[in-house]
Amino acid sequence: MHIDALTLPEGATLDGDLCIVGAGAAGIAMALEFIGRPERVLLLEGGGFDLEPQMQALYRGEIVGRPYYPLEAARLHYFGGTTGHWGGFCAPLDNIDFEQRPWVPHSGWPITRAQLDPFYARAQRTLQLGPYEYDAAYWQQRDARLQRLPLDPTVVREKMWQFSPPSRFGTLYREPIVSAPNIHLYTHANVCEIDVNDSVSAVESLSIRQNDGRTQRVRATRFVLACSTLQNVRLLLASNRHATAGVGNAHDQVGRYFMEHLEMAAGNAIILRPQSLQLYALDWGVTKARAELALTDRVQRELGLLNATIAIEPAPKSGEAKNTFELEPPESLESFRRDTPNGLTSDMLAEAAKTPPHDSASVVRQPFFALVTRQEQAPNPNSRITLSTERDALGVPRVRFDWQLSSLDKRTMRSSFRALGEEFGRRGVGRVQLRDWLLSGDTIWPDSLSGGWHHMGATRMHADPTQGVVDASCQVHGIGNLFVTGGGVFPTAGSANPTLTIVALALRLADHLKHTRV
Amino acid sequence: MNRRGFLTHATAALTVGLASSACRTETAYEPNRIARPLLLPAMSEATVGDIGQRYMARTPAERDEGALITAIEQSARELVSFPWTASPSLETLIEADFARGRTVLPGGWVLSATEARQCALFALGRS
Repeated sequence: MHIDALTLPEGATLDGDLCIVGAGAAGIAMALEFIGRPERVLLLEGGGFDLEPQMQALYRGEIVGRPYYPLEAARLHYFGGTTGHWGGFCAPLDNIDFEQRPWVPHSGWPITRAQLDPFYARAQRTLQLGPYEYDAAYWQQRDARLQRLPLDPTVVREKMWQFSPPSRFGTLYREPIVSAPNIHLYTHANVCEIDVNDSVSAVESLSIRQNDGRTQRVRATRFVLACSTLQNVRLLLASNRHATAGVGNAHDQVGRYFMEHLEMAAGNAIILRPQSLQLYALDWGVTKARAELALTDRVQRELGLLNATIAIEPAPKSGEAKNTFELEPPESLESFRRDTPNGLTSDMLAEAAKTPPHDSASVVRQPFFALVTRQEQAPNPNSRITLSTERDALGVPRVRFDWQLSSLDKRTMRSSFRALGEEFGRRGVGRVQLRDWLLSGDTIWPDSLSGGWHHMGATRMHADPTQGVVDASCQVHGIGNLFVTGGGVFPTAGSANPTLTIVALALRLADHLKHTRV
Repeated sequence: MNRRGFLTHATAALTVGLASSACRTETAYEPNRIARPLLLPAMSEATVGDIGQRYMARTPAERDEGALITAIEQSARELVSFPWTASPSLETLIEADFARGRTVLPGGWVLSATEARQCALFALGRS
């Protein structure tokens, strides 16, 4: 059922068994898991069903580190969350992403890929994807046009992606959530404070605040923060009445290790031999799966590099290919959201269907391509979210966003492109060009530095409370009834876009909560 | 130096180079091939010329035709077991460069040292 919290009187108290804060990909995926169960679930969403400027403005923040995209445009504050404008790129993290890699400080998850696999398989359905198959061979068996480049598989591998329609959770899951008798969705329910007991060992309630100053209280047996990486951090840090450093922050870990994916058009390629590139092509709305190139685990270990993929994209008709943030300024992203409330439009699909095949004749005609990387950044305690002195309209301190990179990030990008270039040359596939800025020093990045709007880390998962905020079950260390889910719990980012992993972790947490009691 | 003058000079230089390495045929690398990189059909002449100029700018010891051809010849000698063995083809030299990690980055392109030198010869031929 749905209740607009704007209609609640001052001082109202909401009671439930489980309270989920945030109705984005993670929060909705979790709530769906509880439909028809005995638990009374309170699903709190700060926005409404449509985007509202004053709600979106609550996400504004102060950017003090590396230049970044406007925070209020990078995340959507309404039912469905940022699935309202995401692109649908999905892939699981790789085995190596979960490992403690000696050359990557602070790496290692307290869970393995194998432990997450069953949840990835379930997340495929939530995101309207195909089978849980990410081996190139599987897709090649189903489409003879999908041919691998003749590269040494011990050096370069295919990282497969699948594409969600893209699922707009706000549209797709509104009816099942609203019609579920045990799911109580409250919109315009902005949580402004977590109230903990005197010993800071349990959450007693949450405080909701309205623009007109009215407040309501939320009580539940267990609480899950699922309102996006930055907002989860803000809420934890701003809740400092009993815990002066913020809830869950006894060891100064909340807000640290913020990570993005570096999405940069960092090079170009020329293909010198006739070769179908269908396996590597993406026609929006048509392509079910495609490959990007990645250095194998062996090469990553030998060269001491982070994980990254490199996509082969059509070269622009003029000039250099743009990085993601340049390509999609906020107004463009907002147009995309408005135009695609139910996924891509029929016009977009028809246009994609007309794309000529990416066969060898096409490659001979146009042998130039842009190479676009998606790269994890090394976990960095100084890449950090704190609180600004400025407050939002509800009186909560805004985010102070200090995104920082390390020399390993730059070295990885340069070495990955060079290694790919050498392999292209060795195999006679073609030649690779690195952009000028990629050849410059390890701390130098171009003005067009770009992420992928992927906010990860800052409430990282670690078995040791001095090195992370949540444990392997996503429970905040030391607080038995408080959990965090979303990209914020990632200890490392891998090269894959995070949504599939976010949903898989949400399903895993839902199972954990179903099978355990406080 | 115009293109014709350059090629004549390149032929002479190559002949001297080959003579000094003994017994290989002087037609091992045809002048009009050594100065025409395999990349040329795929890339524009301007791009190849630019790569060549950048290579010479970063490699002061190889800023003239003689030095470039000598360097290519030196690479070729390293690949043959005996002086009387036929010179490897330019394609073989390039493959060997990549196999041995002899790559350079003129203009950011990951190229074999041989093909970068070919680009430089091409650039000199255009100037």
